[in-house]
Amino acid sequence: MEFVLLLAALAAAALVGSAASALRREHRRIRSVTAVGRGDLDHYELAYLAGGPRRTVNTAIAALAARDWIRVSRGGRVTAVAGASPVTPHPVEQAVLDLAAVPGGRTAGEIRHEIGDGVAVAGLKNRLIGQGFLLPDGSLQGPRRLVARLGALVALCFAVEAALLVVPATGVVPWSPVSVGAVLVAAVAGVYGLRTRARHLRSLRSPLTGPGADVLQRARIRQPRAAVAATGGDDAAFAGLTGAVALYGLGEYGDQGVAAEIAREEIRRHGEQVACASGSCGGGPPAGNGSGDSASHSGDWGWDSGGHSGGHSGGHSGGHSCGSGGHSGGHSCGSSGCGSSGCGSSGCGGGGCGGGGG
Amino acid sequence: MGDLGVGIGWRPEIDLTVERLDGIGFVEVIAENVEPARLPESLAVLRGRGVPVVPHGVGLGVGGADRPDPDRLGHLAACAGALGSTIVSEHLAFVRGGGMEAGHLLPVPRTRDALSVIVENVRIAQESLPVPLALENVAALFGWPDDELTEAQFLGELVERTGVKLLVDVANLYTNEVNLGLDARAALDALPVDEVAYVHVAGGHGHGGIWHDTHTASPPREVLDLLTELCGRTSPPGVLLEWDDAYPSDAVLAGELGRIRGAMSRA
Repeated sequence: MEFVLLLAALAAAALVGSAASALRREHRRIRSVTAVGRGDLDHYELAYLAGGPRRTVNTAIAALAARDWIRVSRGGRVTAVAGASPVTPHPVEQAVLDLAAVPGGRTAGEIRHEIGDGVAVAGLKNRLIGQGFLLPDGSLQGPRRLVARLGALVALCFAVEAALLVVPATGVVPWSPVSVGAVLVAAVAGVYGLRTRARHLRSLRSPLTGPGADVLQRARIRQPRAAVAATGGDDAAFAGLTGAVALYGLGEYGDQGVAAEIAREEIRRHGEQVACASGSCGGGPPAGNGSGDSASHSGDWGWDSGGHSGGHSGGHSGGHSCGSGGHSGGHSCGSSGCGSSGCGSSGCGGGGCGGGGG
Repeated sequence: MGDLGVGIGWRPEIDLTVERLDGIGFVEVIAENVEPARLPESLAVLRGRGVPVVPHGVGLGVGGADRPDPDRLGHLAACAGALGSTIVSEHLAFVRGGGMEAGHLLPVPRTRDALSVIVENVRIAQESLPVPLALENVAALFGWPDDELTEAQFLGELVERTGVKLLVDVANLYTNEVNLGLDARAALDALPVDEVAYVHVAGGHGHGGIWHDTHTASPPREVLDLLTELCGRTSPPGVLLEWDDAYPSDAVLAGELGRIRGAMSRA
């Protein structure tokens, strides 16, 4: 009978070992890509590798705010700065500028949603995949199935372990070197399976290929973590700031007041506006430093579209209506909220007012 | 209300900017855009620093034939309470009639009959408000026929009969000078300037000989000259820059406040 128990333990251990081995092989296979890219990625490509669409868009917002081309206000609202003449060759920056320029602007959450799902970021992602720095969509499905299978086998292993402990305790089989050995085999196999599963679960959050992880690591060695002032005045300072936010997140942005507002998510449900800290609304990665898109050094930023977090407000609210506070049908603006020839979003709810001066 | 210094209109789009501008003496918030029970975080921050906040209404319509709406007055009073304000301001304007909203701050007919109605409206408002009320002169694109009083005379008599304070908008005086030919300096001469609570300054755009008081541009030199003229006649407790859209950079806004301080110092 002891040998039956040992056989069961060995069988469970073999199954766990086989699954773990298959998982390692599959994981290694999908990451083993030969990069065809040049390796000198721009800030936004590195931002995508470091933190996905969310980091990419946050980097653009931070870079443009540092240049005084856009303004971030409380609640994360992003608006264009009048009088600025922004010229940017980068489509992600241009997409942010376009959304900031609409009347009333957009919240950072809305911008992340729209641009994260938009053409500019999709093009950037496809380039990274084509260059061999990023895994194609769906590549991790196989390893995820193997992780699930390994989890089931670990559970089986611990069930066998429980049986191995219960049977001698009831006196059906006496404790012997064989039965103790069976208990040890099952225990070791179970713990090994658990650790293997946890390790792969962590690494499955990163969609980077081996070369992608390498290029990101090299960029981080070239530019170590250090908070950068929001405004340095020259192109080199702006480039340094953009690179820091791209590689490490908004925690590196010199103006943490603005960084916190960029990271903020706003959602509106049934007319109710709710502000929530980043990472807690939608599927963004967990915030590590309060700036909403921090990520570990390995480019572990979560995958799929959730990487840029939910939090879309469901459409722009259109300014700040006069007549709030219970005044239905109120005088919608007038001046002081706007001038005599039309008005802006503050006092008038986005158009439809003007007239008398205030 | 003491010496307010130089301030700026608080707007949600520039809340962080307003919080960070150096030397802000006070701010003004559009009353209809805030809920007293849920003040914007930025206003709470400013209040916490001791920056006075003035609720500025745009929809009361004391210039109309109807009595002021108790709900609107209640909202203004609640704003003053929530913000710890020592004064609230509104416009001497006609904004609705017969259930129809004008959507503009229209000038009132400056007749003695209209003055009697408005005096009563202002008294009702004053009784409903926990703090003094200041009324602002508006910019007009037209004037009513058969006016019996100048704007300064009308405002002066209103002040005398009600004790209401004045919010003098020098940009509106300039607008009326350009558009209607009304002498802004003569208005300053005739206004009871000792009753000025504070002053508005704003920019706009000229088009086809008409000045549009848009609050979206740098105040022109002529408007700042009027501010200097006013400061030569009295020392207004506060001067506030209104900017309502197309907000420039923080540095530009800081520069505009510097221009206002310069105009005041030239008096």
